[in-house]
Amino acid sequence: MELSEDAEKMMKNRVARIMKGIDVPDSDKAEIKKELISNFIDASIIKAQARGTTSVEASDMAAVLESSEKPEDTASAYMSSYIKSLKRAGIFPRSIAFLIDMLIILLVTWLISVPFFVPIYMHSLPAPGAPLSPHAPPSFMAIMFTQLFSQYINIFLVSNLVMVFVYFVLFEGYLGYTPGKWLLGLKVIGEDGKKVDFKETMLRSITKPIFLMIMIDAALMLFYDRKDRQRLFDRIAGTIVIKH
Amino acid sequence: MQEDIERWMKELKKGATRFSILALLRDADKYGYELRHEFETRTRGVMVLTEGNAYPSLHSMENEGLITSYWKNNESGLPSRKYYHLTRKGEGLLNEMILEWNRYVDAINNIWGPKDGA
Repeated sequence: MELSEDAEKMMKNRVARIMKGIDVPDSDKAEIKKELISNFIDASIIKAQARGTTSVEASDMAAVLESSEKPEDTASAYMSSYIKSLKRAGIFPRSIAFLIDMLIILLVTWLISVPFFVPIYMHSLPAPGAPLSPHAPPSFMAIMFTQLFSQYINIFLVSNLVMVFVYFVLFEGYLGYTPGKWLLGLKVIGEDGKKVDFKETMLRSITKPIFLMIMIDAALMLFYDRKDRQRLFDRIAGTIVIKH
Repeated sequence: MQEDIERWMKELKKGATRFSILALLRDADKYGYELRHEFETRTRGVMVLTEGNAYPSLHSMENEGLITSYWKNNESGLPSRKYYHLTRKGEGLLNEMILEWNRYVDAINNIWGPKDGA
């Protein structure tokens, strides 16, 4: 059996196009690729044999590729079968991961805020040696810093909301999991099995900064989609959380 | 009309894919393209197993323990092929499926009645 260079090139091209749409662990990928290569070669041999020869020409391979389905369809068939084999994570491990993440965020924002709080607090105290009379008018500095302090609390609260959002979007967008999810062996992927992008992570994280919203969002998961195990905003973003 | 028929046939064929693959593996271990080719020739082209039909089904059946697989080197110049083997569990399921299938066909034939049925 011989395979012409052109035929091989065409075949490799087709396999590469199919593989482009297949996002599974690397070991499975190698196996799928190997099997697809042998599939197309075997199919083209039948074509060559029909011509009464054992050497596969470009025309044989072209006929095989012509009659086979679109590469995207093959890839999506692989992906949907892969998705079915994955175990979706339930509300319990996901809630634990969420609480761990919130603790991390709280700790980090608190640490960042310490250098700001200390001088503000120090300046709002009466100057050393000043009489501790309750009627003493507060110093100009004290008023200013009290103002600043309350402003800061506002900024702190808002920035914390932003921080929660950014934390989830960045971690999930880059890695597919947050530290909390990593600890519990969870990962976010698209409903089609592919890696999530930033648009998807933004959509699915939108309810997270506000506790009441994420509670409602997660509660809907229990009422409507018990089997799919998706929050409402998972569904909108087209994402699922798997356990591995 | 044609569209309706096609959609209906697609569903019917989908249900038969796993069943047929198990049945084809009953006589001997076979590799992917061999299964596809035999499927097509035995059904005289009425049914076709595309790559996207055959391989993902094979892999999920392997995960379920219905079949096992192994790579085997072949004639010189050919890449090795992945062969599939029917397990005892797969054979048990196949026998059950055949029973149910026959019951189903009988039942449907009884609905057609002597006029339309064979």
